[in-house]
Amino acid sequence: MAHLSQQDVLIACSCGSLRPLIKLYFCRHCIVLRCGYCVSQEVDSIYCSNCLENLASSEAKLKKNRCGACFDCPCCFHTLTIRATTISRINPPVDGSPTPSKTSVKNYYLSCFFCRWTSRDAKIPDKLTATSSNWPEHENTYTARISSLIEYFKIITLRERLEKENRMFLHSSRRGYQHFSEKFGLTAMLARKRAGLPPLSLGRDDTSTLPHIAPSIASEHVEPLPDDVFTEAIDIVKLTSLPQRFGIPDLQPELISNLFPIHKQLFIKRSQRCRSCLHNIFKPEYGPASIKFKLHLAAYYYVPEIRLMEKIKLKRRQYTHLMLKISNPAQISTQIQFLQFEDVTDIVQNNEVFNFEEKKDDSIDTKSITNLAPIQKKTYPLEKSRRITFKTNGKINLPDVIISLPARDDTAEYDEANDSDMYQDNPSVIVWRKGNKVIVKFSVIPNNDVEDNEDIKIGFIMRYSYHGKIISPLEQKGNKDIRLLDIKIFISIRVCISPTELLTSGNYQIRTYLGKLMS
Amino acid sequence: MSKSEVKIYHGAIVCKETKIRGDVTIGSMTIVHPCATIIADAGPIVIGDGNIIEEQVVIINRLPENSQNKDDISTLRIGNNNVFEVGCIVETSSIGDNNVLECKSYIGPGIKLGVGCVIGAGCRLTLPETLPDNTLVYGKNCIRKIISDKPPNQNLQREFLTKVLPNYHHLKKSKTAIMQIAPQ
Ligand SMILES: [Zn+2]
Ligand SMILES: [Zn+2]
Ligand SMILES: [Zn+2]
Ligand SMILES: [Zn+2]
Repeated sequence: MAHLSQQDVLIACSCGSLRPLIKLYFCRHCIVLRCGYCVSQEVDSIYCSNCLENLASSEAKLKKNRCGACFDCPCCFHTLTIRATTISRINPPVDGSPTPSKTSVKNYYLSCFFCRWTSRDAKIPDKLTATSSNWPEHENTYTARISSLIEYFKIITLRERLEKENRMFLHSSRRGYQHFSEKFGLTAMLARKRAGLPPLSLGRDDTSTLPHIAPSIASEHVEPLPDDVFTEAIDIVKLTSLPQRFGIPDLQPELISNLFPIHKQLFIKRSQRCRSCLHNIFKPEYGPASIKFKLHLAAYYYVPEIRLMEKIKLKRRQYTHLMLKISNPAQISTQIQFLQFEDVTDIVQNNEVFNFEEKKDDSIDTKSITNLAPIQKKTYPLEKSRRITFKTNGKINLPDVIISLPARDDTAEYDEANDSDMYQDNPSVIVWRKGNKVIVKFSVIPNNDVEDNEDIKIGFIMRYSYHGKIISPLEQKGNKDIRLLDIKIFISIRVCISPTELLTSGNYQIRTYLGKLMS
Repeated sequence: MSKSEVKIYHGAIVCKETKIRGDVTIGSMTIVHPCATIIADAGPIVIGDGNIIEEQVVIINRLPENSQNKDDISTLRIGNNNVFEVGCIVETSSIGDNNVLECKSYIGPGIKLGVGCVIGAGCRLTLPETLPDNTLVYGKNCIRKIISDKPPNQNLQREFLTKVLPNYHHLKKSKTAIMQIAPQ
């Protein structure tokens, strides 16, 4: 897996941020790369990662985004498991039977398998049933205060929102309200408002009067330190660490023995949506137990992957060969060409022919989106594209060839046949070819002003032909939808070594020695 | 190496493939998996009853690196009912009872374990010391604490292995002739 997360080869997203290929998405509809910054993240479902229970968002909010049944270890934050012990108890002799009878009772307590913390450490009594609920809760002393504050601010938000609504209502015509109801849970109220009905008088919702809250008062009184604080030696084993204290913010215990099980935090499943065309580009299946995707438009399915083949040692004022392995992940063959940044700028606009009108209604989920579109367009501000901040300090010589790569074929991995004859490759450029992969030889030279041990950074443009996926059968009109995409590639090569250093290094000496022997 | 030096007590399961060298005594009901290694170079190794020594475990009584004195004999004593999980390395001289050494843990020379200690997976102890009873070492920073819970009972696992291992491996014969009191 190490090669997947490599940071050597970065790709510029359409918004300008640099990411490795695996962190990028590919919007099929806009035909551009998208990264985590320029997609909108949406919460699909909320679930507990331990018991896999699915919760509605309102329920999760009520439970403070924590699972009622599962606990985390307050000591090391791993999940606690329920452990059983058998305790044999000797019953006092009952009338009639002369000998005391022995019964064994199963007791259950929470235990962490990693750091062996148990609920007995917190002096929580064992339970007689294995059900995961009904563990004792500790009472937060400030509950009343917090809830009164929440109530107060809820009313303030409500008031402000209504004011804003009133203002907007005057300007705009009727608009859908589903989206507000989802977000703020104000359904009934706003529905009435929109329909032009007078608001229901619900007493509590009477926004004209705010409930009274007592402001907190600063106090100069500080508890004095205990007398033994300077004389007693500190036993670090018994003290809690800061993460442990903040794990339970309402208790913040100082001693390990005062730790209390933490309710497990809920997890979410997210889906990603392209902000400019509003299509989903990444959608997991709904069920918490499923790890599959309904839609998975990751860039590594669409963009040819470039990998550094080996670590190279660069020399000053000298070209060094750089081997890059390029593989085509798509199901359709592609053609690749390399260009310098200077060559491109104006050509791009001529080649890109966007025909959005044609593509408008070709996706299955477009319909549901067009309904919501007028509201959502407001809520997705488009990311302003930023400048690419990658300073190159080397130059790469690009071979002037067009490389055709066949489609990915998983069975080809086991095929021994050498199919390099099928392509008229220039052996000085294409060193190796198999299936959908080639190794291409480039040459790199560092700029003259680089320091020793400075990473050499180079950049170029990979132009490849992208065959638009056939989405509906109506669109099968042959290879009409081919377009050329330019992907900006940035490569950093570790450590530049000056020629003097290179002469002394053993590796070089051996190589020259071998070279002499061979000649 | 003379072969008579390995003493295996009745009821112990020691596979034939196990690499054992030197003066090693293995107590009854102890189970040693086929790919474990027990090497007694610097002095004898005495393993008590009811231990489980899993695959890839190395228990070694080796001469201190700087000492040239071959007469400096020290015995490595291991008590009863300890569990040595896969891949742990033991170079210490004394281990008590009911300890658990989790996977890939390492106990260097001079670290003495008492009773009921747990050395977490991958934890390395290298400086000589004596761990207090019920010490737990866990996590990548080798955090320590004293645990109240006893490590779980290994009887079931031991019974299972006693049944299963002889079905698939040849065993080293236990020397029934030496039916003495178990060492320690
Ligand atoms: Zn982006
Ligand atoms: Zn749960
Ligand atoms: Zn824990
Ligand atoms: Zn899009």
